[in-house]
Amino acid sequence: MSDNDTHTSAVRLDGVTKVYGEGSAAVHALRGVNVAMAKGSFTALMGPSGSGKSTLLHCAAGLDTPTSGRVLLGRTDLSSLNEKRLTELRRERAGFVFQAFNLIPALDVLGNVTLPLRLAGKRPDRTWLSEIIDRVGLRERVHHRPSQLSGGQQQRVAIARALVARPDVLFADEPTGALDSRTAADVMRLIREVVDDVGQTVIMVTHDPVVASYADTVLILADGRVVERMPAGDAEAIARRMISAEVA
Amino acid sequence: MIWLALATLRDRKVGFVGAFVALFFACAVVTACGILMETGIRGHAQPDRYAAAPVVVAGANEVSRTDTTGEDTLWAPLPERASVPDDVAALVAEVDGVTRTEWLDPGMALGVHGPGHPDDLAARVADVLPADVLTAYTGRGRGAAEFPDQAESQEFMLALSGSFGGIAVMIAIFVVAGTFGLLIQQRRREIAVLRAIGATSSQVRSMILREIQLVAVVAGVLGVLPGVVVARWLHREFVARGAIDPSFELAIGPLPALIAVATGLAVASLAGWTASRRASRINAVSALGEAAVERTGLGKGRVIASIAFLGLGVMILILASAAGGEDAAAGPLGAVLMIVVAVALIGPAVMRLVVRAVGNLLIRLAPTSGYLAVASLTSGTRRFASAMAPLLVLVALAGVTIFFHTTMADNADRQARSGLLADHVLVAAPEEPGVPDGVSAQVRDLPGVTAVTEVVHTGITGYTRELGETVLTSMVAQGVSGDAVQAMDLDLRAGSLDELTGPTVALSTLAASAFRADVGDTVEVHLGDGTPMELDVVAIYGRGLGFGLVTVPDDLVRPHTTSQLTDQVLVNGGDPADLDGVLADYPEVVAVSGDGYLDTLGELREDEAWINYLVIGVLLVYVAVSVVNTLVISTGERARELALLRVVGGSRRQLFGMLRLEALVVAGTAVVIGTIAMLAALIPGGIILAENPIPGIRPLIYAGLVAVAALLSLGAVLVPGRLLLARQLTVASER
Repeated sequence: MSDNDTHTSAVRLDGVTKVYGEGSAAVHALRGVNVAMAKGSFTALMGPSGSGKSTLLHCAAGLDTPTSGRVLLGRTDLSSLNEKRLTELRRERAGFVFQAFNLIPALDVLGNVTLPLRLAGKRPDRTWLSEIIDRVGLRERVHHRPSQLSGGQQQRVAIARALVARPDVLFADEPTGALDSRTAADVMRLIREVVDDVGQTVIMVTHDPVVASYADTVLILADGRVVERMPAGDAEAIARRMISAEVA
Repeated sequence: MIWLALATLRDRKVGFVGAFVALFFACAVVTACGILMETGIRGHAQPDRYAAAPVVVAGANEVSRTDTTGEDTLWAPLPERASVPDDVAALVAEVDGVTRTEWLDPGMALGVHGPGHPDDLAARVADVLPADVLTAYTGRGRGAAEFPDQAESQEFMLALSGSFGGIAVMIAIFVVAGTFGLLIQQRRREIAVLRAIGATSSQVRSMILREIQLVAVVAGVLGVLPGVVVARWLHREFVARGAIDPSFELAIGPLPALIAVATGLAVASLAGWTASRRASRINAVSALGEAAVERTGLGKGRVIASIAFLGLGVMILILASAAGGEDAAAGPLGAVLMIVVAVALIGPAVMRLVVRAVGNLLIRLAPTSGYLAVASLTSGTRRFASAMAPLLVLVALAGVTIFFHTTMADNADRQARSGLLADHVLVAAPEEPGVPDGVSAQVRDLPGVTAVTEVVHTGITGYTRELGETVLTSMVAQGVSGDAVQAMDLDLRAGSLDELTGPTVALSTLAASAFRADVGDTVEVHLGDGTPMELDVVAIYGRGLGFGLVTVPDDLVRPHTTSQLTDQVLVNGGDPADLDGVLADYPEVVAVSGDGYLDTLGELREDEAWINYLVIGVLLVYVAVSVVNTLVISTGERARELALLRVVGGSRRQLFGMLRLEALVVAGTAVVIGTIAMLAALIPGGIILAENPIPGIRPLIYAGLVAVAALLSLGAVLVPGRLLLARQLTVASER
């Protein structure tokens, strides 16, 4: 599949740059990124701290605005959207999972999962909701508060919430960063299943080669550019490439 | 752990700003009150002309007695000043060691000269003076003799600063405690880390306390100066409005500042102690987990304390109703304070109840923002309760202070209107001391005049019983001459006014309960100038607020007033034209109709309310700062939550809606409970003092109070909310 294949891309960035600050204090987080992620693909963004991987995710998801360049979500150019349309787009077409603080402490599991629908004023699709709840294995805990759940369970709730609106893309920013390796593996298997079973597009930032190995494709960033694109393969290979990217 | 406290303060300036602001303003208000109080205690004007003599003999300005146990001193200011008769002046001249006497003010003040210490001379002079009525003043005391209005100004200052300061300290405790509670909540993780690396819970506790005390001292010291400015401003206003004598100067010493800083420290330590108890219970493992969620349920201590305060409030009301006299008026305010404390202590439970009650309605009105608001209100009851408490204090105390006055004014007006039978009232023209003696005799001879009653307004000081102890109580008194029964209907309950001649007294029901006296008993009093006297109770009447708590014969009390003049002449029957004919010879007297007279009295009572508005105004600024402070901190704490809500698809409008509903629930709770607390004081207060349960609430002022509460709450949530919602959404993914 080609980077230029607009019709099958779920997300596509054309010449995206991002500069924070001005003048001599300016930080170039992204220096012209051209990438496309196909529908149904699972992409891991890797790179050392400050390489721009999180900025890339934020720009792709419409949480942050590029300084220049174009971000397409499906066929929608994000730069053409105002605040209100962006909110609606996030609500309907994007799902988010962060490292921590993913959940509203005031709401129970069900409340958190259905929150995007409620904000959109939509009724949940009962079958789909039920399927998601089962998939993340939280049927017994739908009325628990986040504080009553373990870290892994909280991440599962976040994933369920990210999926509830059947988004075009699920954006995950270090989704296992706060978990131990066994729980992390459970969460990654869950994400992998979602990609394989329902064809969910996933873009994930991680620094952990083991976590990245669950993806289809790994993009390695360094100094605001994509320096390497490789099939995920095994963790060891990823780790070697990472080291060489850092040295380079 | 002081080094850690210092390092934390340096490092977390922002988190402490809230606590600092609360303590800074608390200290400013307490300093202002302290200055007013010190002025009240020792603010004698320097003697000017009277400084010419080492000892000055003049009318007593206070009466004091040592009680039977010899421990407590009973004290009361005197409303009138006795003159110094010539025979007394002659006796003084004969006193051992007196070399020379001179009239400083003829008949009013006698300067006494002689060798030796003035106090010794004064002690010898005092032996020949009539006890309680005349006093030998020395030193600064001569200023009090020269400027007799001072005693009144002094009492005004003491009463005002006492209640004002008390309320300010109360609010400070709530606000500071609330702010610290939030601060601890914000620092759960940090405290958990400290616990994890081996800090004991008492070390954590002492760290928190030290930080808080440091902040308190710094804020306190800085708050002194604005306190002085506020005190000066209030003093200027009091003088400008005639509440205190212009010669009564502000006494600014170091003591109020020290007390204010110490109070701030004490309040902070108390609040910090509670907060640090919670902090030291934070367990290392649990706090490092997901975003902190509030502990639900109340501590047993809070519930017990709350019940105790509620009981105390009820007890105060019961005692006040038994106390009678004007002291009964202190009951409602005290009771309201207790009720407010009781509610604030169980604030989180109250918020929970409120949310349960209105939750469904909110969700029905606004499905999305209502749902979010109810969820956050339910899980954050403690946070919202600490914003609610100062608003509650504001509504309840401002309401009681303002409307207690209007309730009493309404009742006094009602009693006076239904009790005044006279057709015309002769009063002194503005700036004139009183109605001259000849007037009533001439009016009595006019055709159609059926009754003429001379009235003098003064005060008596009575030995009353309070909690089983004898105390001195000042009471408003009227002296009336023979025809009183026709001029006024006092709503007689027992006895008869016909026997009101000689050393007798008619007591209002309020005064009767203060004296524990009935018709036929004898009560012990001091007349206006201090003259001690025993009076036989001949009647009990109901309209004490409208006419005066006690009624005595005019000829008994008038010689014991400063001016010795009649204040009003009440006339039944007669033609206004004939009255005007008589008054043509007396330009210092004017005639008004009964209704006109009552209207003037009503206006005077409304004018007295300004002082309440002034003080409430200052408190309002303080509470406003506190509420804004608490809400700004607690909203700022939610940056991540708001960003997350935005990321998962919440529009700004929805989130604003949520914040708005939260703010309205907080304000609404404060208004409803504050109003209930206010009514709980006003209704019994009205029944006790005027046998009338209807409170004199002014709808416009009440609406203003409600609006202020709502606006404060809304503004303090929506302004920081707007800033937070304008922030980058990437906040949501910060680690």
